[in-house]
Amino acid sequence: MNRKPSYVLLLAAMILIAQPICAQESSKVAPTIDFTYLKRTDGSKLLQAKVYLFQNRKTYLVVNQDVLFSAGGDSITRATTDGEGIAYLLIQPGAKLKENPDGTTTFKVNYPGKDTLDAANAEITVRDMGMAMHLEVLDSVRTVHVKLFETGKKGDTIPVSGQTVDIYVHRMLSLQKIGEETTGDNGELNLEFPRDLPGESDGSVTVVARVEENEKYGNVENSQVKDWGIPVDHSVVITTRALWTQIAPWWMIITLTILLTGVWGHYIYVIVQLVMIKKDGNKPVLK
Amino acid sequence: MTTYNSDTLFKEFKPQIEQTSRSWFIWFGFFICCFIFGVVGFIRQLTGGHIVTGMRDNVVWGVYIVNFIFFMGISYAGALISGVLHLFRTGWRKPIIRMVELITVISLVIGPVFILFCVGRFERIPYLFIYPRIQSPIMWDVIAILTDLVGCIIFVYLSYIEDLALLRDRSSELKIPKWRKKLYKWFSLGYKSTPSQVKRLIFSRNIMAAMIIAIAIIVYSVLAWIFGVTLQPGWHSTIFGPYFVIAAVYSGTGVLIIVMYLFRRMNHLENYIKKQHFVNIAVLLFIIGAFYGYFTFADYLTKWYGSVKMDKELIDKLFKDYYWEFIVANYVGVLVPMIIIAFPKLRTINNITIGAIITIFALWMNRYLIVVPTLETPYLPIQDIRPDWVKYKATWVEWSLTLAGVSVYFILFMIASKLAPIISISEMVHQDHKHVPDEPVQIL
Repeated sequence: MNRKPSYVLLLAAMILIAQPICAQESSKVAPTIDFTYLKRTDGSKLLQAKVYLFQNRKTYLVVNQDVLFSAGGDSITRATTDGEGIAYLLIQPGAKLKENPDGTTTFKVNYPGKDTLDAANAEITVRDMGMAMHLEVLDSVRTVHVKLFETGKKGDTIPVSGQTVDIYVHRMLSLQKIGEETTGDNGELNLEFPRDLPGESDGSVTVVARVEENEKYGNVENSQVKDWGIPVDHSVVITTRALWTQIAPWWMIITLTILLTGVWGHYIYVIVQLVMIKKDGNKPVLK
Repeated sequence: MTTYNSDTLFKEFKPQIEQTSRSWFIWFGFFICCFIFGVVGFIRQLTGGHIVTGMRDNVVWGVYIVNFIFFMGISYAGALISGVLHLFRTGWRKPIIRMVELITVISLVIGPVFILFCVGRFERIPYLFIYPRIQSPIMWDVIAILTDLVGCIIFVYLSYIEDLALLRDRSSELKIPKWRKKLYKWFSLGYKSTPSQVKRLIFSRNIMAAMIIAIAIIVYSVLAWIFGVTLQPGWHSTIFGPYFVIAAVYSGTGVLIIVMYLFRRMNHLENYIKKQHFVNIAVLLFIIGAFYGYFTFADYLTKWYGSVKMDKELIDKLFKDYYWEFIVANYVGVLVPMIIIAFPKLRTINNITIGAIITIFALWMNRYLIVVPTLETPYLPIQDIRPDWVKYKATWVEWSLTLAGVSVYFILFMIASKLAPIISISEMVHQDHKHVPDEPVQIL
């Protein structure tokens, strides 16, 4: 009896069974952390860490996991990732943070890992920058005036030049960009605000100036509400073609009248012909 | 082409008007019994309310509306076919044209009755006319159907005048009751084939032939728009108008073949309704069937590919809960008749009739699949509704009224074939005129 095929099958079965076991041992994967820094209008700083892993061409969010934030080497606090895998830390304005010798601050986030996930770290080093925005009318032109500056050690302001600032307005679902400018030597820029933007019912629009993903300063933004939009009435307009309206649309009345007149006109004509046939029948036939 | 003489034809068809066979009475009695069964069902519905039907909160339209669409479709098909055959002076139409015209009117009389069965509050029907709102598609349908009914009755009546005059003039040779002789006299309008009468009649018939073609298309499109203008899954389709018209002609052509087959056998009309007539109509069935298949495919393909949530749910339901019905309506109903007609060896009278029966069954099923699964797939599910109320199942009451409708269809055909020859003598005798002649063709 030839037993070779049986051995081959057995070996194949063992390999197939062993393979997932081996795979399980080395299945601990390292998550990725997207770490961002945003300085907001009120001077507060928002740190945002999104923890996720990418496997088999799919993204898996790491939710309900604690991460540790630190600034300048000092641990600040722990935060837990939400349903989107994001942990937030809001640093109030005026909070004293340990700076590096060059005046920058390094923010770090650490995920310690768990049974199936490796630990992960991310850091951002940024320099604190202030942004002031004024919305004013200059020579009948609605102007967005932005100034970027650093604060010196003595509390003096140092203009930040050559930085690109994007200007947006808030729309229903996202921000709509209305332009971008670069600051001059005095750290200032001006941008003309368009006159044809729809706003809320009172004409207000939220204008946002942003320095985005800057290598040196991170994200810095300033936003203000101004009545520079065209007031839009969002109340529901009663449709005129609804069944509950008093009268049908004119086009419908005209179309129906033409159709019915045309058709019934022919009917009447034919009925008249039938009457004439009847009358002709009453006349004597000439032979 | 064979030429016919009115005297010969009169003598040929005279027995069919005078005599009634035992089998005629048996069938008539059978259909009357079916009708009485329907009346019992109607009384049950009237006393018990619509709870005795399968219609509930979700599926508020059932078999009744399916029958309505079905019969209306047959009627419009009859109008289209008879109008086109008349206007194009198709030579072979002559023995079958009266059957097509009767299909038009009889279907149109029966169809709207099924709408009344859907109505729970009969006392409110007059409100349609007292407080009409033309912005409502239901009102469009009421106006359209009434207009179509009047038009078709005039058209069919015009085609009868010459034959009624012949029967009046030769009534002394007919062994029929006096009331029928009076009927012929009254309805023939004193027609004596004078030049002016012939001219008026031919002109009127041409006008009405053209009118009923246009009306048929408009009216059935209006019926389709009742569904199409709603946002319901499966109904909200721009091609529903032409799709309904094509489906109507397809089913109507099938009914015509069956009517031809039945009268050919019952009245022994083999010398008049020949195989070529069946083949000609079958070719029409083939062409329309191809269009119907194309429209069906186009409609479902776009819904399936679009994968809008509710459309997807509907398509899934059609291929799951209604799998066999869908296959019968859209595959068997298209392919089998077309295969029968495509191969000359299969193209016998019996096979063509079988193909026509399949067509009619499939088209009834098609209308069922348009109405019921959509209503079972609402956008907003009704809260706390009984699960057995979501799924529609017709009850005996609905089937009894359906049976009664079909029975009345046959009863009216049987009565019509007794009042005047089922083959129009005047059509058979006349030479076709492209223009109104100065001198009439005498048939009397």
